[in-house]
Amino acid sequence: MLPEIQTHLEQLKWLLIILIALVCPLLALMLGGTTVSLASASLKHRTGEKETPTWIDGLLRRANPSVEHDALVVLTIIASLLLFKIIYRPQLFSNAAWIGLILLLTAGLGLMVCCRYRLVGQRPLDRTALAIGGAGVTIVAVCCLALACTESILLTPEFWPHLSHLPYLFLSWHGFTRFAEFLLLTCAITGNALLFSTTSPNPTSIPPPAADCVARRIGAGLSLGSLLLWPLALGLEMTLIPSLAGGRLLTILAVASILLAALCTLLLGMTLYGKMHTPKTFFAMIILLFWCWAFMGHVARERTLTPVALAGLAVETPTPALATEGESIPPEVSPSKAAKVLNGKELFEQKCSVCHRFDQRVVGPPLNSVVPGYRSDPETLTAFLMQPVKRNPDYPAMPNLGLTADQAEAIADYLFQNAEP
Amino acid sequence: MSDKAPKRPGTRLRKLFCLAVFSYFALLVLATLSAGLVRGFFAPPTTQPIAFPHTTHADKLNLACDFCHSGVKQEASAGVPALSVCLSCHRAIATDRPEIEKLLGYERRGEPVRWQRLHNLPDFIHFTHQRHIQAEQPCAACHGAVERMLEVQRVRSLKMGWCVSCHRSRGAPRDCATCHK
Repeated sequence: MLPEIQTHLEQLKWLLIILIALVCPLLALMLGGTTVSLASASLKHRTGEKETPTWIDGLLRRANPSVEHDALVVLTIIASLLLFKIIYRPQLFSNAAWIGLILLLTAGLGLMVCCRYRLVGQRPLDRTALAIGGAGVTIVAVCCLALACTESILLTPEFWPHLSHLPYLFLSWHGFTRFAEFLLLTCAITGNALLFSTTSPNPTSIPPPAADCVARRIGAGLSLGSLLLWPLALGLEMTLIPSLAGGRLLTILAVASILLAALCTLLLGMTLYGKMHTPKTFFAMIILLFWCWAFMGHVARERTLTPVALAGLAVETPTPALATEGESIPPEVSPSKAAKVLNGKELFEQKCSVCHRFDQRVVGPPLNSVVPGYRSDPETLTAFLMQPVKRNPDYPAMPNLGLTADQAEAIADYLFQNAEP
Repeated sequence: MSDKAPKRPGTRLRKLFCLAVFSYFALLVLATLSAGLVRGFFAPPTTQPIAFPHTTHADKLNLACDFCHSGVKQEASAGVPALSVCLSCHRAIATDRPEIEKLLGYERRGEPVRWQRLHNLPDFIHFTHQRHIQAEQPCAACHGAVERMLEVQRVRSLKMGWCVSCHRSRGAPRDCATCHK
């Protein structure tokens, strides 16, 4: 089934880009929302139920997306991970490891969902719920780091043959930087959610509820901080990215992303000063930043994972390990084709006719002048064809064409049949 | 008495903030563009004086690498073939093709072909092809599928981390003097 899918590799790659662009903001919202919920719940737990300020309750409610959102996140993550596995280097990580990562990520998301519904509900808060949430956030964050490093190791295929001996090669500064960029974008989108979603039924009510004010301040701080730091991480990525993965398009995308971040900051500033209120535009721009981030990864992979670069990596692993892209592996010679190449005439035309004619000198001597000398000892001609030795100083040395014994024998037979007696 | 109303301090602060943010992002854009330029991301791809197709010679004709790169088994450098090596075949073969005409033109003018080197190592590195071939390393491990390159290109970083990883995983010597002069 896999080879059939890989014939549509280009379409699958675009599908993956769309899925990544969809899943990253959704996952970021979930991760950021849960973290904010956990933080506010911890504060609530510390201050005690009776003295809980209203803004903590407000923050808790704001940071929680819907059930549909959670289900969509889990499904799209599983779909994109499976697609990633199909498209890139199916043998780079074992199926068990990949399925393990998917299960771990799903479990982490499940823990986060359980914790958040417990926090939002009116049940009494306990340390167990907080511990479950913390564990979920940690698991998901670790999985994201592993995925960022996986994405990064794809850009250095030269390390693949050594991964089994040196597993630490899996970690890279570039992978950590990509993870940091994801976290910063997570902060930006979470900040956006806190800034623009409201707890009161009338968002334009003046004065706004105290909970809204605090949440807005936290949201604005998160968004502003991450938007200012994100271009720094992007610049760091541009200096750390493997030189063969970088290119003109990647630099242009990086510059466009920085300009977009600047525009977002400007919009945020105008929102904070009360001159504009455009939550949808701000949200769309952050989604666009996510898309740029995902597309930069795609561009870098496309520049690196070319069939010519992937060849020669099966030093440690058997040939099937190279099956990354449909066209990257030369097809195995079928038995019928093997029989066909033993046809002496075809072999001669393919391998010898560039330099040799029977009746005239081209690069090598005319065959009619040399083949008859071997008629009494055909094995010598076969041996010469397999291991040519310079004999006549008037001609350049004949290259070793890497013929097998059967191929050399087939060519020798053809030469004896067609040369002059 | 002045007609101008005094400026509100908040307005000046806002302007200052906008200017600082604008300068910050402008600086980052410049830094990113400079990083791209320094790392050669905007450099045009290296073109060779003659479009030598490895696809024809290494794949279709199945010539061994050392037929042209004769130093690969005995010397530190694999060597770029001399014009005479090309002409040993191409005095007679495909002489009407534009690239071969270029080759013959170099011979007529008595001028060497100035091939552009793609696999450069720093001067302080001592790399020998001979030892790697003796260790049965396939050429493709460092050069990729050259036989499938219409125009040869570099496909490995040739960075120290990669060399050390390979040496470490194969048990090859890793002391500094192995590679560093």
